[in-house]
Order: sequence, then structure tokens, then C-alpha cells
Amino acid sequence: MIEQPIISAKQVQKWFRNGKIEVHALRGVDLDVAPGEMLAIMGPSGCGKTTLLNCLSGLDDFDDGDVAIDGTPLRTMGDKKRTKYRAEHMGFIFQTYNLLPVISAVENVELPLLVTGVSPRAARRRALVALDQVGLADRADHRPAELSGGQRQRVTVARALVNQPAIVWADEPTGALDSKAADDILQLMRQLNTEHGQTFVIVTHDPDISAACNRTIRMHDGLIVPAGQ
Amino acid sequence: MFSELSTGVIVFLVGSVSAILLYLLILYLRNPVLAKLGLRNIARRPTQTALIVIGLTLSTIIVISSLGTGDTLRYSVQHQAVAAYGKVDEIIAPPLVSMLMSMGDTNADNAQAQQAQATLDGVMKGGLDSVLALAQGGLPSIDVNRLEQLRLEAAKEPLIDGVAGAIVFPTIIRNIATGQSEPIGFIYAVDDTYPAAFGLKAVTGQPLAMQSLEPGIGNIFLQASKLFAVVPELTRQFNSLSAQLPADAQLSVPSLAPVLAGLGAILTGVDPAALPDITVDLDTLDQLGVNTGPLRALGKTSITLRELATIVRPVASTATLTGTLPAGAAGVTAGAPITETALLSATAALLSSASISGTSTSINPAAALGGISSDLLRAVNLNTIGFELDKALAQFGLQLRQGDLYLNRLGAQQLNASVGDVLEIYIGPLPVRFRVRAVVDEAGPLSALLPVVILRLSEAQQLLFMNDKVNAVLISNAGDEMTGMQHTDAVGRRLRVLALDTVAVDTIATIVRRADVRTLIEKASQSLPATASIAMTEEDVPPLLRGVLEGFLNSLNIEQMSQQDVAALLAAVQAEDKDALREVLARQSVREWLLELKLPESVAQAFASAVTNLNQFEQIDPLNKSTIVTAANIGGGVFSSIFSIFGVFSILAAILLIILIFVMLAAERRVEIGVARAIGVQRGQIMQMFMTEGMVYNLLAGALGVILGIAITMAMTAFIGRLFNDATGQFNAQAGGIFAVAFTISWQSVVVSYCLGVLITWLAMTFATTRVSRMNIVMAIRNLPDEAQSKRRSLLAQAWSWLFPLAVTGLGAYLLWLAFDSHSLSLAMIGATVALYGVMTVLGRLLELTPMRNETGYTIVYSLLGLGLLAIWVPPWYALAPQLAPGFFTWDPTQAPTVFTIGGPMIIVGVILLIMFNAGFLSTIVASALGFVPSLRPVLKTAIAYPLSTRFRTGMTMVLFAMIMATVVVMAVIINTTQSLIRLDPRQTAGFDIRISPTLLSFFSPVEDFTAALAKTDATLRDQVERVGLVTNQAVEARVRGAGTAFAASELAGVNAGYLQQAAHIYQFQARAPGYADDAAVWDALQQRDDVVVIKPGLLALASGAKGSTRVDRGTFFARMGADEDSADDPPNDRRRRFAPTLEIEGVDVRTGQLPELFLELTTAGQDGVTRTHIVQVIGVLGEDTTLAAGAIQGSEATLRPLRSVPVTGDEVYVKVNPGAAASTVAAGIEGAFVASGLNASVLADEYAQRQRLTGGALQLLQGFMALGLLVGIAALGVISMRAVIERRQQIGMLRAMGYQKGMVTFSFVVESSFVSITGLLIGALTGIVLGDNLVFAFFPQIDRSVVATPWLPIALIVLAAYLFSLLTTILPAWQASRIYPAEALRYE
Repeated sequence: MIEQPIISAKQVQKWFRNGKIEVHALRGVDLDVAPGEMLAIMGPSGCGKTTLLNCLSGLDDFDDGDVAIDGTPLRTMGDKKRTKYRAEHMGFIFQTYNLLPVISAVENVELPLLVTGVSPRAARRRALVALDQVGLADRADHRPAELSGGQRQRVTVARALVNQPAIVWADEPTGALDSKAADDILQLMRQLNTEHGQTFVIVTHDPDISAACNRTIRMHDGLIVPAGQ
Repeated sequence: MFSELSTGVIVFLVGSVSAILLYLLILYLRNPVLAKLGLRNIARRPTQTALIVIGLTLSTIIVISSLGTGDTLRYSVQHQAVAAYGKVDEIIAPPLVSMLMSMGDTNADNAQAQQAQATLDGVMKGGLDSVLALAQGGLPSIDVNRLEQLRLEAAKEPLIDGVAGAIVFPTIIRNIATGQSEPIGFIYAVDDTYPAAFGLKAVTGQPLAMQSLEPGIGNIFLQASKLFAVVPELTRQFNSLSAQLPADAQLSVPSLAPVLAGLGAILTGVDPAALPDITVDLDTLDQLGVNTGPLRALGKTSITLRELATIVRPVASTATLTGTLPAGAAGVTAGAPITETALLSATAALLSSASISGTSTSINPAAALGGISSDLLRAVNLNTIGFELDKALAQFGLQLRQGDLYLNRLGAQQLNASVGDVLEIYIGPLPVRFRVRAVVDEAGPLSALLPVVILRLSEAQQLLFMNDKVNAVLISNAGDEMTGMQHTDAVGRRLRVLALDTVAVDTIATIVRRADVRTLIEKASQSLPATASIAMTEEDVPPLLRGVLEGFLNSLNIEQMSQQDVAALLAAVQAEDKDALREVLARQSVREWLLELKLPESVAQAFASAVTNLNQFEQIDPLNKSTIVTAANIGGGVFSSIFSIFGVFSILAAILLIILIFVMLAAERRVEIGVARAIGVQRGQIMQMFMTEGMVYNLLAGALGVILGIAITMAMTAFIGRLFNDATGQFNAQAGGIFAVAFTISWQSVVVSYCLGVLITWLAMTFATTRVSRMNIVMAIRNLPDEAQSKRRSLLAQAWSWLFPLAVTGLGAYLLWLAFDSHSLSLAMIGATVALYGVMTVLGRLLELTPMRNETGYTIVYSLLGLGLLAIWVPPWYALAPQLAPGFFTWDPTQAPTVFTIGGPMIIVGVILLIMFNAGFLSTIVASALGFVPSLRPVLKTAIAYPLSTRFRTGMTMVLFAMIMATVVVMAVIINTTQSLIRLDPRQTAGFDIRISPTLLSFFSPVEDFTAALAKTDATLRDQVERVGLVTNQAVEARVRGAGTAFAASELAGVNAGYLQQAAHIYQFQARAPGYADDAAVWDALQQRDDVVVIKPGLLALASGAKGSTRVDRGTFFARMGADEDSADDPPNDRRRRFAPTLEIEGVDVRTGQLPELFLELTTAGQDGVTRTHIVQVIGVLGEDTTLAAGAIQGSEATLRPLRSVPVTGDEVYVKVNPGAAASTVAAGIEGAFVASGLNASVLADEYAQRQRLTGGALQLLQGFMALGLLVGIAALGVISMRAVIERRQQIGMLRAMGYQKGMVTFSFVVESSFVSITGLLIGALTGIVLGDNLVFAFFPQIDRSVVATPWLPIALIVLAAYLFSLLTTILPAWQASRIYPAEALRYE
């Protein structure tokens, strides 16, 4: 039993409906994540890992159950509050980077700060620091198209961490990278987790990531499979 | 006309579209899967499909509105012309033109010419004399017998199915009921057969007959006309009567009166039954020499007037009076004093008063008869015709009953008259009253343009003293109103034959038959070409062009005398074939040639006379129905062309949009297409897929475009209708307005528009799909930009990448060299542009060789290119260059359109390059400008970054907006300029309120001295007039005295005291002669002296430093251009010197305000052949060239007098009304007071307002039409926004994940599209202002810039409206973007 979990999910259920077809994506997931924990979620494709991550992070609604972030139930938050909460307390890393191609690396990184109202000057300074942390200080002015896949993912990491979120959600962060780049990113996340005590929830197929995390849960058919099964 | 012209075009367009459809059908049959793939996309995104279809409609809309407007105007004019003409196709008239021509020929000594001269002289006297001259000399006319002959001859012509005589005569028409009058209208009198042959019905559709019109003029004019006919004979008779009177004979009034009354009545053909019952004793008649024997034999001692008339009538009808007055006859007193009493009025007085007995009088017959006519006419002119006068006239058996007439529709509207209203029709100065019996359409050729009253022919003949005569013959061709027109040429040729005078033809035949004449003709014919066809020599034109030119000239049917014609003439004379001879003589070229022959003296005069008088009447070609209809066609075509030309910008924008749409469609499916290509789909097959999809959009858009276009055309034509009516008399364009614009569109226009729209779209689509099909498959599959792939150029490509810019630079340099050689500014600007592009491309290549990042290199090159373009095209070089490089560049307005056509796009491209390649800078500015709201900062960052990262798409959209906006704003600037120029400026009116101008009818009763005439009017009117200004213009030759220069043309305006007083309030002098302390002194001197003048600054040479002087005076500009050319050491070139040099005063500097002593020597050659010279001192230089009086030299009327053979009467009359008086009331009062003189008084303020409305309206219509193009921009923005939402789904998801609120996403999209639209609109607006200014001042450098302010408010409103509309199409996609669910958007599976 984890005391005062930063993320707490109780019997979370989620259906996807596409016309007459109904898919029960989450069938009552219970999960607690402690602050500063680095959690890996693994499982076969289509088992509901990403859906769970989306529901926990408030990116998606769930149909039943409860999710509380730092004690605040998501159900009670409207879209506006949830969005604000995300901006202030969460960071995201995706497999496809989802960087804005039309602005430079540093501008991509400072964007979450600007959203939360940080002054442009401070935002730029902090973004540069973040880029430095991920080893891309010299690529700050490059557009995403001018960076390699690994570099782009580092920018994504810098963007996810620049506003020092309590929780970082990562969905297959190394899925599109070669093993070297994937390893770099993993080390980076591990280091940041250690240094800053941020909570990481990582959906992955990569056993290396799983190995680097504090805890790994496995999912199958919309449910968390108890350890050892 | 349109259908004839465009048959080929229609076939081509329909053929092209059919061919495309067939091609696509074949492709579909060969490979249905690809087509289906394409078609499936249509249903997949209905909103996008709808937007694309709307975007594609524009070219069709523009084309159909251009054609539809032309069709409507063409049809409306045609319809009105046909309605007015009815079945009349041609009109023939007496040969007035040839008559006047023969007057000029001193050798021609024929009666007709003399008569024409006499009539013309009489008519030129004006006033009542004109009427009498017309009455006695007769209007040019065709005798009814000749008309009958023509009718018989025409009956044999298969192409002519109707002939009718008519009288057409100008008149003033006034509606008694409403008091409204029209200074110019026409009497159109036709005989009773007219309705049957030509058709006549009321506007209600009820058929009408001429017989049912009640005769109106009674017999007063009939009497007058007969009286005028016997005037000479009566005068002779009376003279002989007086001569036979014994010296002491006295005619006792009481006894003579009844006789004279009877005589007058009898002479004027009164019905005896209508005469009063007065008894005359036979003794009196005996004394007058009447043989009363037979009466006395009947036992009579007296006789009644009625009986007397019955007896004397046969005598009167022969216009001879016989009889002698025996000496010492009772009651006749000789030698009594002669009074000027009119015969008729004296008689009237005598008859109505018994108390006159005992008074004796003697008659001066000539004076008495003159008195009759003038008294009678004056009585009628008193405007007192009514019951009283009718009663008085009835005593003499005269009557003036009120008759009926038909009024044309236009007249009914202009006079606000309806059936039953009484109208006054002026015969010269005489008003005659008629009641409107019906309003009709078919009131002859003039009824489409002017008010026309239809009278019975017999009545008009009496009114106009044209008994048994007509002055026009109406011809109806076989066929109906429309089909008859096609025979006009053939009928015209036949009419020319029928018009020939038989006697003249016979005379010519007789003379030509003479052996000596024949030999002479044969000899003369040798110098003629063999055939009538035009052949050109090699000297005329190069051999290559000769065939084309000859064919063209021959197709124009230019008549050319040939040996063939001479042979035909001689053969016809020889064979005595009269028909053949008439055919030959009917040709104008033959007659002209015959007149030039030098024949033996014995026959020369008779021959020339016969040839001259060959025509008994002429066809008036301008009045042919087909001419009017052709003019309507041309007019409609012109409108179509104007709209097409202005629509070109919108069509270009539409083409850009089509390309944009298809490029974006392809971008959206890039991955799909990449995969398709990867699995082996050919490039052509990809194109097929797009083509099939595009063609469906295209066909739908064409149909929608036709519907929308028709709706827009209807709105536009309704607007044009209102505008026309506004222009022609402030009537609204409700059904049946003065110019009834009836919306029409021909099927040809619809087909052409549809096909053209489809074709334009197809071509643009083909271009776009070709472009998008050339993709890199790997990059497409990975959805990475093509640019990401580094390109490796082949050696050839590398060489080309250097050679091309170098070649372009070379071309630019060559153009510049040509420009400097030809001194052409436009060419210099184009050359500089080309050279700039070449140099910048070379620079780009060079920068590529450096380690600099490509992006930085592009920024440098394109920014410099943009700046360069702005430097070349923004400054008003057309005005500046001639000043900066005088003598090298000259001002040439013909080059100004370059400013618009090339300059516009260049400025827009320049600005857009600057913006697109300095994105960071711009975004910093915008962000810092709007970034004070924290939540705006991230939004602004992305909203600006996105559009700037897709340069092609954003640039194209901005170009669309900017281009359309620029044309609309140019129009706004032009509208504003014209409105500023056409405004009521005291400098242009000298503060006068009313302009008085004569009309055609003023001819009969001209006002010689308006001031004097006004003084005789009603005091109420006089008191409202403060001042009358008169300006008399006189062309003079002038030179500076003592300067030794040659005389040069100028104009002296002689103004009256009223003008000078008014001018003193308005105009100032920039320089005065010594001795004139202030302006008032100058004005005073002008009033008092006849040897001083003032001049306009434009008269001073450029170096004079005169301020306010138009650098180039409008009036003398062209003349001066010629002078400049000559002074530039050019060899004299007569062809260039089309205008005589005008006066220019050199070496006078007025900057000090002091004018040196300056005398002008003015000279004129009067009509009397006397050369007059007058020396005047220039005592002032006016502040500006703009004054009411146009003359460059202005002096008093007294100054002008020594230079004229005719009195100074005032060519222009202006009135200033008293404070408190309404100008419109005074104007109406003046028109009313001078109605018989046909004066037109217009309020200057109204005139200006009218002109402003008209020009403003016309220009606004064009502006609105061009603004249609904004739809393109708006649709483009919609398409782009929709595309952006789809394209950026994942990124939007990420932003939402990152903390972007929904509102921020929406706002981001709105800001993004707003950035594009606002930037485009602002660039367009600024470009438009620059272009508009450049255009205006390139054409009119003399415009005072301070007068023309930039119309900021209208421009701001246009920009705002366009922006708000553009928002409408972007709000939906923006809202859709905000609805994107982040979790869903971020899925990458």
C-alpha cells in the first residue's frame, strides 16, 4: 500500500464505441503511483496501456471509476481546470515527438512556460537551461526538421520537464528511436527522475525501460495483471 | 451580334469541355478504381467540398456577370429602340444635306440652292422672322405627289412592305397640369395609314387609330398659312388699289370695315357659314370696283358677309383680286394719315365697336399685313389662349379648339403626364394646347430618347405651314420588327435608286449620249482602277500584309469608282436601259466622279445641276433601326468588355485559388499518394485521380457559378438602371422607367460562361496536379517536407542555375539600354525589375557557395528583391523622373497604365517577399505588440509561426487578398479623386448659383441680352436675383508687345460687371502691375477700362515661378508637347505638330508679387474679313488657373469689343441668387419666364451633385464588381484553415495536452487566418493607395494634391468588411480545432 499516492485510480473503466462495435478498453483498473516513482506500464498492443495513460493524465475521459491526482479527483474537474492542471503540473513525452515544426527547438520548449504565464524572457532562459540539461544547447535555434530523431525526443523531454511538473507521462518515448538514442533518452529520464524527484509514468514495450523503472505493471485485455502472472 | 460573333467561340468552348469529359470518361472506363478513389474524397468531407466548390465558382461568376450585363444593356436598348420604331426600319428625308452642299458651290446656279439659301438666311434671323421664313420658304420637304410615286414604286419592291409620310419637327412640350416642361421634344406626325402599316397601340395594349384624334389647331393656323401664302399678291393688289385711289379719296372706316373683315375672312378661307351676320351695302362694293350688277339685277341693295364670301371665294382661291376703285367713291377719303393698325385687329375693333363711326383711317397694306401676322402670333404667344381668345377669334370665323395627341412613354414619364392632361406644344415661340389621348410606345425613332407627341399629319401640316408636304418618309421592310432589320442594306440600295429624279436621270442620259461627252468620259476612265476591289502596291505595305489588308478593306465595302462602273454607265445609256442607268447613278462614288468631269461648257452646267439634283430624298442612315440596334449591341459589348477587363484581376485571383486548392488537396493526401506511388501507381494515374475529383468540383462549381452570376448580374443591372435614370433625369428605375433595364441573359452567354469557367478551372487544376504529382515518394510516405531532402543537381542543372540568372540580368540590362535610348520610363522600370531579379538570383547562387545557412541566404536575397521592387514601383516616378532628369524623361500619360498593370503586382510581390522572409522579425513585432496579455503569448507565437512556415500557401493567399484589395482601393482613390474634382468649388463657379443655357428651341426666340430681358420679368423673380454674370469667349492671336515673338493662339474672355463683382469675392492675384495697391484696385480697373486684362498663371512659362500654376496647363498641354518637341532640336516634323502653338509668356517672374510692365498685342480676324488689333496691359496674374471663365486672358466686355465684328452678348450666362432665395426656385422661375425662348436654367450645385452621383455610381459599380474577387480570398482562407485543422490534428492534441485551453486553440486559428487576411488586405490597401495616387497623378499631374485626400475611411471600411467576411469562413474550422480531443488526436496508430 502506497501512502499518499500522487496518482490514484480506482476501478477505472473505459469503452470505445465505433458505430455498433463497442470495445471495453479498461475493465476496472486500480492503480496507485507514489510521488517520485518511475513506473513502467507494459503489455501487448491493444491491451489498453495508452488508454490508461490518457485517462490518468486527464487527456481522455473515462466512463466509470475514479482517478485522483495529488488527491484531487479528475471527475470533479472540468476541461478548463484539467487543462490548467496539465499545464502547471504535468509533462508529456510521445513516441512521435509532436513538436511544432514551425518553431525552433527552444521555442518548442518554452511554449509550456508561456502557457502558464511565465514572462517571455524568463521562459526563454528556463527553456535554454532545459535544453542544456538534455544536451541540446547548441541546437536551440534549429527547427525540428533540422534535428535527428533522438535530438527531437530530447527536445520533447526538455519540453516535458521545463515547467518542473510533478508528473511526466511518456508514451513509448523511445519507440521511434534507435537503440543508442533510446538508451540516451532513458538515461536522461532516469537522471531527471533522480535529480528532481518527478514522477514518471511510462508506457513502453521496451524491457530496458522497464528495467530502469522502479516498478513495472503489466496489462492485458484492459486490466492490470497482478505481478508474477 | 454577340451570337454571330461568338458562334466560333461557343463551338470551341463546348468542344473543349466535351473533349475533356470524353477523355476522363475513357480514363474511367480503362481504370475505374483510380477514378473511384478520387470521387470518394468528395463525399468524405462535405464541408470542404462545399468550400472548394464555392471557391471554384468565381471565374464563372465573373465571366457570366460581364456577359450578362452586356446582354441586359444590349437587350434593353434594343428593346426600347424596337418598341419606339415599331415596324419602321428606315427613314428618308429631303436632301437637306445635298441642298446645303450645293449652296457652297458657286458654279451651281439652281433654284433649289437659291431657295435653300433664302430660307436659311431667313431662319438665321431668329425670332418671328424665322417662323415666317419657314412658313414662306418652307421647310425642306417632300411633296405628297412624290410620296405617292414613291409609294407606288415601293409596292413593287419585295423587301419593302410599308411606306408612310411623316413630319418630324422639334418642339418644347409643357404639361399644363404639372407645369413640367421639356425643352426638347419632337412632333411626330403621321397619316391615317400609319397604324395599319406600322402598328400603333397604347401602352395598355389597345390598338389606336390616327383618325380618332380630335383636330386641335382648328383653323387659325390654316388661315394664317393661307394668309402668308397670299401676302405677296395681296400686297401687290393693295398697292395697285392705293395707286388707283383718287388723291382725295378717303375710305370711310364704318363702311369699309365690314368689307375688309369679309375680305380678310374670305382670303383666309373661312367657312362662310362661320362668318358673323353683317350686312354690306352694294354701294360700297361698287366703290371698291366690285361688279354688283348681277346682285342689283336680283333686286338686292345689300349683301351679307356670308353671301359676299360665297361670291368672292372662287376669286380668292386663285389669289388674285381684281377691281378698281372709282374716283370719288363714297366713304373713301384719300390722303388720310396712315396708322399702323393691323388689318385684322382693326377690323375686329371696328366690328366689335359701333362707336368708331366717324373716325377715318387709311391702310398701309404691307404694314397692315405684317401687323396681322405679328399681332396674331403675339396674341397667341401671350399664353392667354383660352375661352376669351377663342370667343374673340370666333367673331372672324377663326377657332382654336383643343385637340388630341398621343404621347410617348418617355414623354409621359418626363412630363409626369397621364391620359387626359393638357400639354402645350410650341411651334417656334407659339404654344398650342392638346390633350393627351393615349400614351404609346411606337412614337418613332426619337421616342426612345426624347419626349415625342404624335399628331395627325394633316394637323402638323397646318401647324408647320407644310400643306401637302412631309419632311420624312417611313419605310417598313418585309418581316416583323426584328427580322425586317436584316434587309436594311438591301432596301437602302433600292431606295437610293428610287430616290433618283427622273428628269435629272434623263438629262444625264441625254448629255452622256453625246459623242464628245462619251469620248471624254472614256478617256477620263482610263485613270481609274479596273475593278472596284481595293488593291495595294508594294510601296504601300509590305507584301506579307498586303493580302490581309486588301481583304479587310474590301470587306468594309468601301466604294471605289472603277472602269467597270464607267463601262456600265455608258452601256446603260447606249442601250437606253433606264433601270440599269438608275442603278449606276444611285452610287455616290459614281456621282462624285461625274461631278469632277470637265465637260464642254455648253453642257457642263446642266450636267452638274442634274447630277447634284439627282436625289429627291436621302436615307438618314443614323436613324435606321438597324443602326440603333447595332449601337445597342456595341454599347452592350463595351459594357461587357469593361467588366471583363476589370474582372481579369478577379479571374487571376480565382486561378491562384484553384491552384492553391488543388495543391492543398494533394498535400492532405501526400502520404496516401506516396504509398500509391510506392506500390506502382503511375504519376499520370495520380493525376487522373485528381482530375476526376476535380472535374466533379469543377462541373458543380460551373453550375453554381452560373446561378450566382445571374443573381449578381441582376443586382448589377438594376444598379446600372438606377444610375442611368439618375443621370438622365432623376427618375427611378421601376418598371417602365425612362431607361427600362430589363434583365436578360442569352443562352450563349450562359454556355460561354459555364464552359469558360470549367475550362479555366481545368487548366489551373492540370497545372496544380502536375506539380503535386512530382513528389519524392519516401518523403511523402514519411510525411516529411520535400525540402528536407538534400538535392544534388546534375551538371547541366548546375550550369543552368548560373546561366539563367545571368541571362535574365543581361535581358534586364538590354531593356534598360533600350529604355534610355527611347526615353521610355515604363521600359526603364521594367528593365530595372528584370535586371534586379537576375542580379538577386546570381547573388543567391553566390551565397549558396558560402558556409552561410541557406535560410539566411534566402532571407537576404528575397528581402533585397522585395526592397528593390518597392524602390522601383512605389515612388511616383512618372511625376518625379521628368523633374529629376528634365529633358531626358518626359511626362507621357500613355505609359501610366503600366503603373497599374505591372506596378500593382510588383509592389504586392515586393511587400510579401519582405514579410515572408523576415518572419522572425515580424513575429517579434506582433508578439511584443500584443504580448502584454500572458495567455496571448503562446497563441501569437504559433499563430504567426504557422502561416510563415508555409510560404507558398500563405504568400499565395496574401497575394489573392492584396491583389483584389489593391484594385478595390485604386477604385476608391479614383472615386475619391473624381468626387473631389467634381465638387462645388467657388473657384469653379465664381460663386454663381445658376447656369443659363440656350436649347435648340431658343433659336426661334433668342434672348439677346439676358440682363435686359430679366429686367422685364416679374418683380418677384427679379428680386431674387442678386447678380447676372456674362462671359463671352473670343479666340485671339496674341503676343507680348515688344518681345519680337510671333503671334500665338490664346483665348480672351470678356466678362461683364456682374462677373467681375462676383470674381472679386472669389479670386485673388499672385502678382499685380505697379500702381495697383491691392486686388480691389485691379478689379476696379477691369470694370472701368477697356485696355487692361488679367491672365491665368498657366500662361506664364515654367521658369516664372508662378505658384498654383499648373505645371502643365491642361488646355495647352498637347500644344506645348508639340512645341517642346520642336525646341529639342528635333527636325521639324509636321505630323507631330497637330496643334498650333499657344501663347506662353517668357521671362516673367511673379515670385515677388510684382508684375513688370507687360503689354499684350491681341488680334482677331472677324467674320467680316477685317483684322482687328487691340493692345492691352496685363495688370494681374490670377492665383490659380481654375476660374469660371475659361479664357487664359480675361478682361471686361469693353476690352473685347474692339476685337469683334459682332456684339458682345455673353456666350455663357450665370446667375447669383439673393441670400435667402432658393436657387432651384429661381431657376424654375427663369425657365418659366423664358419658356418661349427655351432657356434651360440649371442649378450648379445640382449639376455637380448629379455628376458626382453618376461618376461615383459608375465607379462604385466597377469597384463592387472587382470586390467580388475578395470572395476568392475569403474562400482561400477557409480552405487553408480547414486544411490546417486536419493537418495539425496531432499538434493540436499536443498543445491541448500541454495546457492550451480550448479557447486558446480557437483563438490561435482565428489569429492565424486573421494574420494572413489582415496582412494581405493591408498590403493590398497600401498598394492600392500608392497605385491609385500614382495612376491619378500620372494621368493628371496638374491636379492640386492638397485637394485630393486619401479616402482613409472608405478604405478602412472596405478592409474591415473584407476581414469580417473572411472571419466567417475561418471561425468554423477554428471551432472544430478546439473540439479535437487530445487523446484522440495524439493517437499515432
